[in-house]
Amino acid sequence: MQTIWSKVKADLKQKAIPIDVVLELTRKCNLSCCHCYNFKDNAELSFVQVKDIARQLRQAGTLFLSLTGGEIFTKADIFEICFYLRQSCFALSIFTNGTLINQSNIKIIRELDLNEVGISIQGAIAKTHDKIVGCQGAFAKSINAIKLLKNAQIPVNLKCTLMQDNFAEYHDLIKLASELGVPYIIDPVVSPKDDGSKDVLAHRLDEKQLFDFYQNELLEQNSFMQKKEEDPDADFSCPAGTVMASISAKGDVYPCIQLPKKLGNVFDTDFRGIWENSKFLTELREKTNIPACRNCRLAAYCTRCPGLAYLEDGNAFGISSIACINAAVYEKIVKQETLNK
Amino acid sequence: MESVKTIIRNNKAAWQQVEDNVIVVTSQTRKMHILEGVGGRIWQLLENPMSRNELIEKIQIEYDAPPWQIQEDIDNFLKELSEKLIIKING
Repeated sequence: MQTIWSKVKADLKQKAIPIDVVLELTRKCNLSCCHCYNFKDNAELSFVQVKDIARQLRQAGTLFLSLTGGEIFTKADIFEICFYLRQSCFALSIFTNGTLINQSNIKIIRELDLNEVGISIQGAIAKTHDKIVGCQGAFAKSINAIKLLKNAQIPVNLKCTLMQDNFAEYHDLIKLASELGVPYIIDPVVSPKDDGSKDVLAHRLDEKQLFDFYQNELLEQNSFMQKKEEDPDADFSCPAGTVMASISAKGDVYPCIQLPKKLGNVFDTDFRGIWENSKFLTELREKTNIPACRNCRLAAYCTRCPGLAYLEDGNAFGISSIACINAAVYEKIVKQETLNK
Repeated sequence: MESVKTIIRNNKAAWQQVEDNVIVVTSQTRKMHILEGVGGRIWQLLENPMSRNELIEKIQIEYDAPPWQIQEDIDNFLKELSEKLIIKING
């Protein structure tokens, strides 16, 4: 039965079926992370609105639904919402800081049969994590949540944004995930805020740190670089706006949570109408080659994200300055490895 | 298989119809399965629990194949779905 997955994937892409959607339930949060990209307007969706969105997404073809915030467990009706979405046959994942998961609600979370729970951990020790998230005692609660989830046999992973503030603990973070017995996702991308401000970029790793990170993490396991070397003309295709979408806590539809270009609002126009008629999406789906990047010597190493290009450089279809920096680092690593061989 | 009383979907499975196929994710294993063509149709028909014989009757009406072959194929398919926790067979 699995052998036809590649055909189904091609169908999904060709027909632009949004199989994978991130739904921002709330922007309220009990933490104040220094690198957070979110608006601070406390917007959130009501249960009635979530039901409406669920109906629209089922009709549009969505299967995988990820709930994010803010902090989703600050919503008093979070469990009613989750049970409703599961009964609506979505494969449900949640992203949370874990501080509100405890012994008294872990049984309910277990009953949700979640696909995945991602817990943000921003340091290997309490001092670092608590400083980054602006809340003393948060680390202990988040680590406790990971243990509770793991013990309840709920798939959980540790998610970390690697930045200036925690780079020194990079290896210890991996060790921590290993000790907890959970997979980890360490991402060195700090995004500009959704309101366009770039103050948070001061937390980004410098080129030397990026070099160390990619050399350690990517060189051994990343097939991307090999693929790109084999086919340097490979386009910059991205699932955003094709098989992936995002809906904000105000009901605004974006191609991706990292590409906050408003396409419409689900409370004004049905999701399917927005998804099928957006001129921006048509351009995003068709324009997989970026003219400005076409003759770039770093094209083979480029992992350009249209969202970061949009947020940071003002044009989703133009050059992404952070992608240029990353590509230069990739190239340096590959050249060094070639010399070593 | 002939003694099967009721076949029911795993009501905890997540699923979505994509054109003629149905993608099913089982809650116990978190594995993704794709039910093509007739498989997807069987999933649709099982929206309401039914017996093996009822299911065979409905498929025989819709598909042009010898009855013995439909029965054999459906029995094998139901066994596979049951092993993968996609459906539950009550004997």
